[in-house]
Amino acid sequence: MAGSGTAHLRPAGESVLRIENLVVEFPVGRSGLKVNAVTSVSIDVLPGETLGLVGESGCGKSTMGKAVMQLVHATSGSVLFEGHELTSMSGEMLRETRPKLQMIVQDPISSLNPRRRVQDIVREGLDIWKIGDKESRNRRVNDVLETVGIDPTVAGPKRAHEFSGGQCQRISIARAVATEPKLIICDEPVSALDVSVQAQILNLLEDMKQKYGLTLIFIAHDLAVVKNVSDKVAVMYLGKLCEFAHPDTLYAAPAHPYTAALLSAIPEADPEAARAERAGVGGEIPSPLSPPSGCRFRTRCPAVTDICATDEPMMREVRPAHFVACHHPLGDITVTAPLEVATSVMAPPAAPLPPIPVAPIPVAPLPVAPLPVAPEPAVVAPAPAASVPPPPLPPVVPVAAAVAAAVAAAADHAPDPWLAPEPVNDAPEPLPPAVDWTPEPPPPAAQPPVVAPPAAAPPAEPPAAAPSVVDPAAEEVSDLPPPPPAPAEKPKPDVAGYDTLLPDRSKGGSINPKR
Amino acid sequence: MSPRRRRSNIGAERFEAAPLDGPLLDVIDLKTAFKTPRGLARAVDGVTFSLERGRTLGIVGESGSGKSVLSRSIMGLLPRNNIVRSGQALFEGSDLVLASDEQLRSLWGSQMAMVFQDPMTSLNPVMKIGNQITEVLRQHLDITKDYSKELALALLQSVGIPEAERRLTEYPHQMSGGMRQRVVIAIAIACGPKLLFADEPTTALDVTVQAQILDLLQEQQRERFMAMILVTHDLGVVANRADDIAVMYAGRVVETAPTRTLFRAMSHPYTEALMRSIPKLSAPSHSRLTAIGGRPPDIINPPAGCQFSPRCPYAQPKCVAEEPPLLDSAEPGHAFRCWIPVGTPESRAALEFNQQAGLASAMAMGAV
Repeated sequence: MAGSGTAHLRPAGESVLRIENLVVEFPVGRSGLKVNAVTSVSIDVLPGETLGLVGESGCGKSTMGKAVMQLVHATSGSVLFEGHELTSMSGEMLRETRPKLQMIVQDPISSLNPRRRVQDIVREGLDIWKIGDKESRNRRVNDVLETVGIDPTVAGPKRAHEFSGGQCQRISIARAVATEPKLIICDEPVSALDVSVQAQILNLLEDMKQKYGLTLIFIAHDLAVVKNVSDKVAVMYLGKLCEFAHPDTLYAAPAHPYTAALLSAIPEADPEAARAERAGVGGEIPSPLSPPSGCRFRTRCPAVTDICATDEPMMREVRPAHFVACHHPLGDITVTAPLEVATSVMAPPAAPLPPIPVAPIPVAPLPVAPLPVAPEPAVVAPAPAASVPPPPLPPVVPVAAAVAAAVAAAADHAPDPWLAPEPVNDAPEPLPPAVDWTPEPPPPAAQPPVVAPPAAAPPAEPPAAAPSVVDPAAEEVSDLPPPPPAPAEKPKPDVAGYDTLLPDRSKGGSINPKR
Repeated sequence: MSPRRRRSNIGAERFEAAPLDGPLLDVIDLKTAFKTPRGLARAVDGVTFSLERGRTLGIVGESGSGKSVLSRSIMGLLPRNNIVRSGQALFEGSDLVLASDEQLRSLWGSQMAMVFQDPMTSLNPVMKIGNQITEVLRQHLDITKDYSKELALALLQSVGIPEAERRLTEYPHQMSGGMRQRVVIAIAIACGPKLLFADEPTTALDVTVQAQILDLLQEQQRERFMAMILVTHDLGVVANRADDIAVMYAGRVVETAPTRTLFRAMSHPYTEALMRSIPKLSAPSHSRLTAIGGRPPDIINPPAGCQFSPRCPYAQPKCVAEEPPLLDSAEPGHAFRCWIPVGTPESRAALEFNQQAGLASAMAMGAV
């Protein structure tokens, strides 16, 4: 889909931030080409709202965030923050606005100056703006650090490397809220964190939002995370907006094929859940250097028709407060329970839309499961960006067969060293010495003799002496002894012997309990 | 003699006599520790499991739980210096822990292979894709150069790379992350390994590409009857794709079960906590997540008792004093390390008691 339009914007006076037809382009060297990072995107955020911005990497969501902060220069369009136009603001004016605009970036560790103390990092904004006297600034620093769950007396004098990723992200949040901002742009704030820490940070962001009355723009690629934090979700694709709606509505009944594909790609942590019918988005995001004409998603879209190549879809309301830019939005959706709850509180549709003519969907050539990247449906009209039609993929089977044949051929080869063992010591290798940090009872002494024929006694390290390898001084551990000189191929009887060491395999689990 | 043509005879007997029954991989009490100035960091602390042919084992845990070190330790990819390893990793009967570098080299690629997390750095940036694939083919199979090129082309096509012929002459930087990961998979499966390690294969990729790559791995695994060890921090990734799951915490397996059993009857509080901390698509927006407070334990000086007890909402004095063993539950194949398993009356009582005592981790759990 990926279209333009401003139908989804709320009245101008209400929003904290209002972006209209924002365009950001980056020139590529002197080639005359340009990267269309953001193309005519309009979006607004009401006070106290969290706007989630999702999309694949390369869709321009981070550029959007930076363009709001004026860290990249907008090619055209307007960014209104509290009624002031940021794009045309002078440097000094912009500087004075920045305390109200803060940013939290993805990598928590590299975003903190490694040579400065945590308390100085958090206080810097206050120092620059000389907010209050020194005492009150220190109090403010301690206050925000405590709010984010960092002990100011212990952690204040430390530096960033002494903290884990989650704690560094907490410090970043403290730094962002210290100057009492109106709007915080969170650019993938939890992507670099573990799931358990991610939950802590998401909860913390909710708390901070309550406590300081913040408005957030939350940029992430994880749809579940975005759903959890957002009041509105905007889906982006290749520099354009696809869909804009309340998360509960959007996730229950996506109207854009791209949103549906994104949702179906998420692995659910529930093996019982029937694998969702793959709306299957094959292929990859096209180059932003020469984006497809018309709808930018058409090269991967399962519902593509001729009109998609010629006309760019505009944002329009398909359901109350649910906007989509697509010629063939997914209609006729079975509405699930959460959606009914969500829509019931909304105003009835102003004018019910005519039933959407369902485009003839070329299902057959769809790039579905087996080979995700497959030739696109031939319906696509010729366009500069249409990727070169890949050659028809040959059946998969030959490869396995070919490799198998090659293996077999290799095996047939008489001089193959695999099959011609060098006449080296065929003696069974000695039992591994018991190397351990806690002295444990030596392995059953009956083991080695079973396999070791007396004639071929191992040259060094008689197996029975294994425990002696453990250095009595270092009851911790001794170094791994050098590997035995003979090839370590273990004769089968030995293996059988090891099997008896196993606790009990008859229990049927693939994992054996230890000890 | 040139190291390139030299091969050990480790596989010689096995090629004819390898037992087709019995597990492919049998890991017994494997321990791996790093020597650090502060002492030994016990990254893997006594892991035992076995993997049958053609099955998938998912290993799940937070970063620092030792899941990556475990897979590298089994495969022998860790440096020899400053590492202490003990225990056994029997691959078709031969112990990988004791194998020499040369023996391991003959196994890597041909018998077992690994797909790494970051496709940007696991390919050689100054070598063409085609050469990187034919290198492994010619190393392990006695085939001509032309035939290896044919195979490489077929491999690239089988992993779903369009215009495979052109891609063979390209360099890694000319491809996207997803395409590069496909190339890495093509290299890994080139010689038909019996065991494939996938160490966070999709963490660096977009969600749509992640689904494609996971589907590809699964399809290749079925087609070639490979066993696979899928290491990830995302329970969602393994839920639909692994036959068994082992949850790791502080270098130990704290719970292991067939996938469905684990999700239906999870017994370890850590597994439950991991599940609860994931934002769910089915939950309404702004639903409060149950985060796991605190941090993983210090693996250099681990605390006494259960390693999870400082963060556990059910912890009781016994948990702090004594470490629970990995015990079988009533379900087949299900084992866990906990004195007070989740879902039992004791656990409810313990949680209630902890909440009355005002324990932070218990308060976060909400009403009993």
